[in-house]
Amino acid sequence: MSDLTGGFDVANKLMDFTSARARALATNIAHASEPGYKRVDVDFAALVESFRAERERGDAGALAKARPAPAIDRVAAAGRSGNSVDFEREQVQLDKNALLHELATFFVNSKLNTLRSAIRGQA
Amino acid sequence: MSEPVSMQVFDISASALSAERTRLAVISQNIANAQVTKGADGEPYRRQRVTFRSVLEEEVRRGRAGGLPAGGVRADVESVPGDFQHVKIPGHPDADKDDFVRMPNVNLVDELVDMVDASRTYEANLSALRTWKQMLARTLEMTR
Repeated sequence: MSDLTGGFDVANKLMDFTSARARALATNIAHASEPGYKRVDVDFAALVESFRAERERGDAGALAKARPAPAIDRVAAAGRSGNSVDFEREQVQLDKNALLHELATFFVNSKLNTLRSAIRGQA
Repeated sequence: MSEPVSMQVFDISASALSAERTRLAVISQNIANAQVTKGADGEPYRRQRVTFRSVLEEEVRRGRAGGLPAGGVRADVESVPGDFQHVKIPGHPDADKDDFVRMPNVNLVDELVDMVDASRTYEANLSALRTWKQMLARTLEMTR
C-alpha cells in the first residue's frame, strides 16, 4: 500500500473495536438491575496481542483476522446483588469509547481529504 | 499496557461519582430506617456510614482494586456504633417494662447535611469530567 492509501486498515480495525465496545457497554447498562449479572468488556490490549501473535507467525492478513471479542470482566467488584455493573463507570467508558471513535473517523477524514486534493491537483 | 493519563482521568472521576452515589444511597437508607425499632437481628436500626479511601497503585498492580483506577476513590459502608436513643412511648410493641423504646442512632439533621454535601460533590465531579471531555474534543478539533 502506498503512503496515501495506507492506514485505512488500522482505522477500520479501530472502529471495529469501538463499535464492539459500545455494544458491550450498552449491554451492561441494559443488565444493570439483573442480579448476578457480570459486566462484559472488550479488551484493547487483548486485540493488539492477538494481532501481534498472528503477525509473528508470518500471517500477512493478521490485522484483518484480529477480531475484537467481548469477554466477562473478572476484575470488576460485584455489588450486593452480585451484579458488577456500575452506572457511572459504564457511562464514562462510553464517553472514552466515543472519543476514540471520533479519533478514528478524524483520521479517515483527513486521509480522504489528502487524497481528494491530490486528485484535484490542488493544495 | 496501561492507558494514557488523559484517559485515566475519566476513570478517576467515574470512581468518585460512583462513591458519591453510594453515599447518597446510604443516606437515603438511614433516613428511611430512622424509626425502625426492630430489625432482622431484633435490634433497632443502626446508622450506616460511608468511608472513602484512595485506590493505591499497588492494589491496581496486584489486581485487587476491583477495576478501580489508581488515584480513584473507593467507598466502604460500615455500621456506626453508638448508643440508641431511649424514647418513652407507652403501649409500643417494642417498649420495655418502663415504656421506653430504643430508637435508631440516626440524626435526621446530620443526614440531610450529609446529603447536600454528597449531592454537591457529585456535581463537582461531574463538571470536572465534562470539562475534561470538552478539552479533549477541542484538541481533536484543533487540527481540523
